[in-house]
Amino acid sequence: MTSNAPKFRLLHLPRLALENVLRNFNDGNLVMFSLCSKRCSLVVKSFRHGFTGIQVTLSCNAVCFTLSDKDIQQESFVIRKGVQSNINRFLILDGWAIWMRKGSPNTRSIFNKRNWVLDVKALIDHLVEIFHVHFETVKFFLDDFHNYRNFVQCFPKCDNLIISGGRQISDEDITYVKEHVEHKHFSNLIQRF
Amino acid sequence: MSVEPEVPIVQVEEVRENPVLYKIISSDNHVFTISEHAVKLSKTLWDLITNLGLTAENALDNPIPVENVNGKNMETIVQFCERHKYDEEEPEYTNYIREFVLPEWDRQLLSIDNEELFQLILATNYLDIQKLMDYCCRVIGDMAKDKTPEELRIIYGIPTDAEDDALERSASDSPGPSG
Repeated sequence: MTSNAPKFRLLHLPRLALENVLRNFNDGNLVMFSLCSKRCSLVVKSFRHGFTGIQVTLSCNAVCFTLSDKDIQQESFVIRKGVQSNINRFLILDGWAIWMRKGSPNTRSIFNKRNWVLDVKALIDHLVEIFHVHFETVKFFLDDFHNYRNFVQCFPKCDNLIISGGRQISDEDITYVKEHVEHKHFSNLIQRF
Repeated sequence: MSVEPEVPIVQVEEVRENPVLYKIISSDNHVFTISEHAVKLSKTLWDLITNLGLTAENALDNPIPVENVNGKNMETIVQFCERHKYDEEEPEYTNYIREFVLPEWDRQLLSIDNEELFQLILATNYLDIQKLMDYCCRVIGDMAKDKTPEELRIIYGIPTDAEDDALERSASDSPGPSG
């Protein structure tokens, strides 16, 4: 990264070539690229990426996003609950932890709050904005997920709503999620033993 | 078409099996010989050959000038086309995000510095060689793997929002062609 080699002038490429490069980006690369500048964000927004929707799985310590297209499921974004000491939020993309530094002077940062709920909301807003996709599946894994209600507001509408868990999930919890997330299909996968 | 530059003919790859050969002159007057199967990979060149009515009999007497591509890039392009001239046609991609393996030979061919790669893409775009464009773009796309926005900004020379705004302001402040 400290090389003096000339930069590759990506944004100076003809439009078709630029789109061809973006077709070699996975969803994680596209998100990172969209955060480089407003212009990059516009480039990603206008790119026909083929994603059809977002699938979300929420649990007490992580939120996982999967972008899907008509044939394949792309890699996942994971936002863990924990933020280490005073270090900022990181995303896990393709199994790599990518630190999203707060206050980086030259790039857009979507994680500024050091608050799990707000950071999840920020990423959701960004994904929906740049990919123009809706929520296909939202799955709440409610075991030990005491503050799940804070997340429900992030998903006003989805195709498939799933509630899962194994321990002491009350009917009130189920009703709350069902009432606050507009959905076409609902699956209750709670196993009460 | 009758002017023959006084430069040596560059034989990028010996062509044995195909009797139909064409000559291409780059912008810096280097002359390249390319086989018919190879030149067909370039939609621009093949359209030109077809429109000019070049045949096996008159092809070598009528070199094709390509003023937008220099000798260095043309050499790479001819090498690439000769290498891939008998490749099976690619299946149509059903996904927007592409999954394919870049062959090692091609990765070596495209191991050039960023500015050379940029110029090669412009040449490839002009000559309309889809496979080479796909391969070049894979090399550029691979640069983004596991990179943060800040790293991408450096790799791809992406201006900051402030720089973009300043550029836009200076463009709007500068007088137009009539000013």
